[in-house]
Amino acid sequence: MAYVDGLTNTEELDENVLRSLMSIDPKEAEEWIQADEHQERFIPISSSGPVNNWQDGLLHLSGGHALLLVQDKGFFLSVTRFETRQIVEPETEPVIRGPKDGFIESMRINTALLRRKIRTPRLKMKTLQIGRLTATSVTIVYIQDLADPKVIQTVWDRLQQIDIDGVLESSYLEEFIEDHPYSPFPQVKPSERVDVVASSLLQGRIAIVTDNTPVVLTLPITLPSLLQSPEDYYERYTFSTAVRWLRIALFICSITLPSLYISIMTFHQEMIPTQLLNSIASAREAIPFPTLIEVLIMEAAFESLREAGIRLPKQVGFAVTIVGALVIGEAAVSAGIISSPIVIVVAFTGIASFTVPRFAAGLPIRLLRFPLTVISGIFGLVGMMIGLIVLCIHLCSIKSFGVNYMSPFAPIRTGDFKDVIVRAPWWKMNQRPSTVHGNPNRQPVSKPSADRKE
Amino acid sequence: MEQGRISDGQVAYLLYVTVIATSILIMPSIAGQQAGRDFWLSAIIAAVFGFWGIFIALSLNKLYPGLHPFEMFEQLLGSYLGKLLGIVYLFFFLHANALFIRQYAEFVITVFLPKTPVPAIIGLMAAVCALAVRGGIEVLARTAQLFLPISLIVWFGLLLITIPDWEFQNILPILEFGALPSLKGGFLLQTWYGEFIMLAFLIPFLSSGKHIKKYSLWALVGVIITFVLISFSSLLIFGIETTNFIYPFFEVIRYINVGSFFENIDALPLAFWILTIYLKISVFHYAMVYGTAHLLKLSDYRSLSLPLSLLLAATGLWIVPNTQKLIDFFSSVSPTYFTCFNTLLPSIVLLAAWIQRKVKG
Repeated sequence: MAYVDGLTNTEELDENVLRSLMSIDPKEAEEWIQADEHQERFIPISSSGPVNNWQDGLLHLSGGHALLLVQDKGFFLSVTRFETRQIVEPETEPVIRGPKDGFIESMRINTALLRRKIRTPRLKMKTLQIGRLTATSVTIVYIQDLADPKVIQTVWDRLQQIDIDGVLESSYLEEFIEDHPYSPFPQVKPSERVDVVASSLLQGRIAIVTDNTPVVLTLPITLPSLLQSPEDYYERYTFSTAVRWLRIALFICSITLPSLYISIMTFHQEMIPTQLLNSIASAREAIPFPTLIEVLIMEAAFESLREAGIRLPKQVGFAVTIVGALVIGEAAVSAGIISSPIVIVVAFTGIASFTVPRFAAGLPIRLLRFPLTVISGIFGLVGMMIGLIVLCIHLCSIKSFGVNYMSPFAPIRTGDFKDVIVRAPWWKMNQRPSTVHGNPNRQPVSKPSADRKE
Repeated sequence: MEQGRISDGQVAYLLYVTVIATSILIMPSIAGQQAGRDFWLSAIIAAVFGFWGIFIALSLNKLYPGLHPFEMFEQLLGSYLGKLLGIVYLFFFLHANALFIRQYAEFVITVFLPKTPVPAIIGLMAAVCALAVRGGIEVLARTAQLFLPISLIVWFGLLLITIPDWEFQNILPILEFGALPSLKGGFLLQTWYGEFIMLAFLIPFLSSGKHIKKYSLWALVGVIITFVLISFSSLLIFGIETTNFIYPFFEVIRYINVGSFFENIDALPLAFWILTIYLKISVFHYAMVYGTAHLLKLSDYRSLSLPLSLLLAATGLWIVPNTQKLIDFFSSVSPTYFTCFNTLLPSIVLLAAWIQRKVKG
């Protein structure tokens, strides 16, 4: 008998395996060993089987199974028990109203969490091992007849082609299976929330659950879908719609606000009302730098603070944020390095970029703000527009597993607007997103309180 | 050669934007030179040419289903003459597009960047268009669907603000000197309406093409409404003065003043105009790049996009010395020039094709 201590449930081993082995009488044991098949039926373990060579046996051992060696025969007994984390609310994606369960590091538990939400037998899972050394289990999950079989096949093929030493996080896979590996925009949606992944599955998308990470990938995605928060669907639809508009506005702000400020301050001062212009001008009087340099300094400072705030331990992180925001900002303004309007602009841009519900979607925006800022400093509004055109050309040319990234805006799919521009009430959402192909378009909904009197 | 396919609706977007992008700024002043205060009538009259352009494109497509115009030329005139006509059209695209990109540059210099050298402005735009055309017709169509609604919302939202200043007496007297001046003005406007012939160069990339007639007519209706609205807004505010401005639409926006804080915002809506002119230049650039690759029998046109955009930028620099010459060109030479390529030549091709069909039976 062999097993790795710590990976194996020794209690179960004692209780079910050793006890039945000890209680077996010698005659029966002889019979048992001689028998050709189904030897494992003498041991009350749900999952077991024969092992034919050492290679297999070692794999089973490191997977947490126990090996039982009798004369020239070997069996594995699945008595695995990993220590796992509690199922808690994911810290990165909190909601006020909604289920609080998040994925954890064990793939089996994660798939079970999904299965608990979607009970249909059409929920299918296929598992494979990736990584020469880590042999990480990866499961793709989809609902049959809803997900596009072509996409499933593509994902499966691409996953099988991956040849790498180890997979420690699902982002390893993400980079291998994307359509446009050089694009700064994410083409799959990472999430730690069970309800987010479940709702994606119900829309006909595909999920990839990776062992040892709580981050589950869903695909295909579109840029507008990255601006949706799970809570949109749990709060009343009127409010959710308003919040969605706010979020879209802030998303645009987070890209363009610094460049807009620079272009207007540098080339079109006449657009600012006179009194405001006066106060801005007097604030800028002592500053030796042009607006562009000022914005770049402030943006760099802001990004450093953000980075420091994330990397440091929590208690220190708070201190850094406070020191950075209050002390450095205030001191820089009074020392005449930057002017106060810049602080407002950059701070507001920063806040705006925090409102993007998907952290991964906020990253390219943070990055692309810098080239846009520079070109606006050189060419003003024209430069900003040219920069935005280039950005949009890129966004319009990329696809996430055959789905246009900017859909439903480009190409326009008016049917999908009810879940993008507004959040229609559930009884109006009688269609799944048309962009995720291959599914029957109608999603049955009933009328709201059919018995009510008008 | 082109794998991408676009929908009928996307063609309507591209057609609409191709026609209005350059015209929206100077349309009232060009037509006004001949039509006086009746230039809004000219905008309606000239729509006949738009209709004619759509008719030619659709009829040619009926005679040669799914063929690119260059292929039609070769089938109609034989290999050598057909290719020659194709080359003539390529030069037309290059020259016309150079005019557009120069017009864009001159406008940017007037409104946004008075001190920036022209080559920088033209070069930037040519590079962006090269990038878009490299992406293919699908990308072009998608950016059109993304940009056009935004620009239209901004422009018409701003026109709404000017409504309190509209003086309806400014329209009168209608047809003061008879119908002739408006007809003459209409002839000047067909420079742009004639661009509906670009439909012929877009039809080969349609995915289904079932509703193309309906959608291209919607594009025409959209253009008429836009022209009339633009004409009215400047006419009702400035009256006959409109004809003295170079960019009347620009003056209308400059006129906006709400509560003395929302004023002088002219740069913002004109920044959105850049989105539309980018689309127009890209459509013409695409026609040129695709046509060149077709004539040279290349397997892919994408690699030609950047080199030809360099040629475009160079031609744009060389084509006219200054804004005044450009406006001169648009009001004197261009009506006959563009009519020749947009309306006359395609009409002759259509006629020839018909006769050939009849003779062959």
